[in-house]
Amino acid sequence: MRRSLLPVILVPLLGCATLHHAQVDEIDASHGHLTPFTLTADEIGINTENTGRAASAVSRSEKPSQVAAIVALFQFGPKTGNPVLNDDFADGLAEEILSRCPSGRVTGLVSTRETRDYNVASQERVTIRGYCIDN
Amino acid sequence: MSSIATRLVIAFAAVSALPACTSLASVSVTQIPADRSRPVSAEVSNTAFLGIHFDNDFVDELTPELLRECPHGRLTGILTKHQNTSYVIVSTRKVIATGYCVYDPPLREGSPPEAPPAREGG
Repeated sequence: MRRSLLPVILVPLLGCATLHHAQVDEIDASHGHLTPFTLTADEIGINTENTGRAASAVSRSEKPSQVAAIVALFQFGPKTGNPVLNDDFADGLAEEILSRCPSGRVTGLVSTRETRDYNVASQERVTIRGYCIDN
Repeated sequence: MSSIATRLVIAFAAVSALPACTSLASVSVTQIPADRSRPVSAEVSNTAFLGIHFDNDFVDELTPELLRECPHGRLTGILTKHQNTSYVIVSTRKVIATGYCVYDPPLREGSPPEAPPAREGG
């Protein structure tokens, strides 16, 4: 019986990955050698419902779940991934791209928005991959 | 016993082959060129049992695949489509990119940029 519960415990620890958005930009391979780069911005997301359930299971009380349900009412609406405490976490990526490519010649940008789900919390991630055009 | 196992395998294969829902997660497009004589396309996919995926690294192969089709040109007019298809017990995520490979004529040093063609009937 305990062995059958093992996947239920282990799978959330490994972190299920969800891809929300993928976008490929123009690629210019005609103006010099391309050097690849990867940039990531992360923020911790909170799954209010699962947090309430976990707290209820630990405390053996229904109150945390009820509080979580009230908090969830304030997070109503369309969203990508779990709510985060700081929604500016990806704002610095454009500047970071330029710092990686001092010439300012950037091409082949691939942007992805993904979530790594760890049950009560998640890793909300934006990844930018691209190429600097070397002179 | 073996016939039951065979039936189970056949049933499993039949259920897996049944097409279920396909959903479109995102679409994006870049500027479309006038020269559309060299279309290119690339796609990457990732299939997982019960839709439990542990990473999204399959997307990494998309750009190198496009570059292989247009090694020294300019890839533009890229339509990127991200879709998910569920086959009851497995799900497949697919990112498809289609576009055009353009080879720009070399610019001569000091020459002025080419003027756009005049509008007809203006």
